[in-house]
Amino acid sequence: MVASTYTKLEGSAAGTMMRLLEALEELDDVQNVHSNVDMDAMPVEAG
Amino acid sequence: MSGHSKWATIKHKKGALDAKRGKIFTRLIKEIAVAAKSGGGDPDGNPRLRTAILAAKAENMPQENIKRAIQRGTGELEGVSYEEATFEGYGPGGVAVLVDVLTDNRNRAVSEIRHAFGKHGGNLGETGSVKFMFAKKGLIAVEKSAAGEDQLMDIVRVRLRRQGFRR
Repeated sequence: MVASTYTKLEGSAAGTMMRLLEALEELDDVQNVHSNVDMDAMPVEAG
Repeated sequence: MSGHSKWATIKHKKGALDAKRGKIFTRLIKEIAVAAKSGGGDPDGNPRLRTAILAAKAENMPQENIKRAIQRGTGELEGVSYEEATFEGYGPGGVAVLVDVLTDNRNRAVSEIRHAFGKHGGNLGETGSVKFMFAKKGLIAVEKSAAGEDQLMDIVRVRLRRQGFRR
């Protein structure tokens, strides 16, 4: 699935978004997750 | 976990790896079963099943597991029936999120997904609220030596003409 527009996120919002995507992918019932987020670089998680 | 027994170290590493692989396998098996159920157990006549099997093979899933997943899908083996659903929601900053789900218990899936959204600054939206922003796209890869640019363009042109486009 390809998004027609992308939403830019920066700073802490980007980090929250990463955690949301990870949490969704962790779920057993979930096959795929798509989003239209656009980030400069993948924020590295501490720990 | 260092000490005298090497197995003690290996055990922990292996355990984590096995759990991860198990999760990927579950995902692939579900996809195979659903593909076999919807389009039949023959990969030659079922492109979705063919794709699912290729993905499973890429993860080194044993042939036996693949076979069993297909049989479970076609009903030759007893198995749970999965329901397909796509959930739509918003992340932080109004980012659109699509979640593809295969589940044997829709209510559980909904509540888990809603919980995940709620915990991370998003919320689950109505069906149709973000889907319009996404388009399903395919990708066709051709070996460079197999065909030149002109040949490929000809193929595309013929296909378009058959579908009623003119140029």
